[in-house]
Amino acid sequence: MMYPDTVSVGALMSLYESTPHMVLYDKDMEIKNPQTEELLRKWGSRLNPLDVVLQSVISRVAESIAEKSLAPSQDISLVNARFRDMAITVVRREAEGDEDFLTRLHDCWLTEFKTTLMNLVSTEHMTVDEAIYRLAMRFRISATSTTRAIQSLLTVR
Amino acid sequence: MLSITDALKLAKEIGFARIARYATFAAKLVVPFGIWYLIAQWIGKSIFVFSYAIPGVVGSVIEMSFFGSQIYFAGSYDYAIMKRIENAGQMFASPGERIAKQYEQECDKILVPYLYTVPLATGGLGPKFFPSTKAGRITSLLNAVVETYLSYSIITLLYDNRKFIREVFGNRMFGLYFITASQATIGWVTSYSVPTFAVMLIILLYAIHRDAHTLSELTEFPTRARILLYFVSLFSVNASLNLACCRLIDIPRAIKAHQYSLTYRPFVDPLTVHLIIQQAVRNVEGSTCNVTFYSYKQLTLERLEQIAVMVRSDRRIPRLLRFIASKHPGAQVLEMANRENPSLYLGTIDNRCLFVGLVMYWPDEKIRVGRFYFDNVYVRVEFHKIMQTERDRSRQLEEELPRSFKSLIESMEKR
Repeated sequence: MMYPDTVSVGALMSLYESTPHMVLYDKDMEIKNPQTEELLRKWGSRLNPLDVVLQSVISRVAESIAEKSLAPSQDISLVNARFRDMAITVVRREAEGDEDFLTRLHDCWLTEFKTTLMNLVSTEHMTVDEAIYRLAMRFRISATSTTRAIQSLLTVR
Repeated sequence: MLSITDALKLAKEIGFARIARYATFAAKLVVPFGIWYLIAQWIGKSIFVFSYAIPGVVGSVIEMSFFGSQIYFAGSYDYAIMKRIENAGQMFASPGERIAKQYEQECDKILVPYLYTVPLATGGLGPKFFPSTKAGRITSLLNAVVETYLSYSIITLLYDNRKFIREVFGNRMFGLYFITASQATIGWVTSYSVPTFAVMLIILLYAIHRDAHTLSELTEFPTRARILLYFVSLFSVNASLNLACCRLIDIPRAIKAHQYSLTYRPFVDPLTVHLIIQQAVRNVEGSTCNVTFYSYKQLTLERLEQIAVMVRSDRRIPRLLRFIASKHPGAQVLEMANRENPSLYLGTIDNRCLFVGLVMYWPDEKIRVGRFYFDNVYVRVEFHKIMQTERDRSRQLEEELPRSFKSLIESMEKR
């Protein structure tokens, strides 16, 4: 399956509107992926929390690529190291071709994250723990990363 | 003697929700006995005639053994699931539309029965069957009469055999093990300890009120049914013994669960589970496993009815869960599914299942709970170790956030 040559920030953000209800994680997934680690080392320190944004976008793009490859009508995604590497390539290609891409991605992602968080106000009996769970689920990141993203919203931007 | 600060600290460590659950359980067990005791004191003991009570005693014993065994099977369902995975291997090896559909159905059959285990676990199953139709109201009334009669029968049986019970509790062998705990419990009821009894009564009334409140959120719950619920629960020795009996029968399962399962409350980290279990299996077995994450995004009534038919016809699912699936109106289950928002994790090597994870929101306690079951204790230990490191890191960061969601939003709005 091919992913478009250029991907806009808007297109990446629209991926969060719908997530698959079944995700299959293949055996070759690892807690620390060398490629992601390298990418995060290279760009992650530029903006706070760019590493969280990249983790989130890479996970969602990998799911989206996998979704297109497997039973498209079933809303199922089979994620493996290959799809993850492809997702990293997609983000890397954009970041290397456009200097401002990462800044725009970072800002858009945080705005989307904040909007989702603020929308949770309407939910009855919402707690901080439950908010972290829901945000982690929607943005495909760990609880630690979610907490860091919330913290970054609380500091002056 | 504990100071108030120490007691609060201890209560916080144990968890207020857990303490409330145990206090409710104790109140449900003790208060109805106390009320019958007071009735006997006021009206006289001549109302307890054993020959009137025989059918009730038989009915109660049958009910207790049936529900006790079914609760055991329903509770053991987690472990039974592990032996029943049939499509995971093929799903990962050669995925396609047909196998994806079969695998999805397999996941449905695991997940949907769990929607019924939350009311089972919180003890609020009974009230959920009070429908608001005329036939439902008549059934509720009959249920209340039968329940009160069964309670009367049990009290009559105990009264009729009071000498024997006294001998049993007076016996040195039994005395050594049971007398302290039993006397402490019975002491509350019989020693006219009014403040203690009053506190227990308030807890019981609160528990009933909470059950009724949960029910009224799910369905149209008439006020008269609520009054009936209060009335029956106050006298319901039968339900108390049923509850105690179920807990006793459940002990072997609970011991196994202690060795093979882990529970996290609150559970906040859905996207790290697959990495942790893969790492844990890799550390123990050398090679790792595939992980499936399954949840309901848009569950419709029509789809739910289809799943319910599958659940009802699958003989491997415990009878009690199938019974509830057949009796629960689809709209209520849909409501429960939306509120509890359950999701499932399966860790598999081909069709061998090493790990089942169930994450569910418990509306009564307003907390998301993650329960994980393991094929062997080694993977469990490894999983716990890695998960603990992740949780500690997350907790450390979380401590810097405002404690309540409201204040979090307020501080965000100020920025």
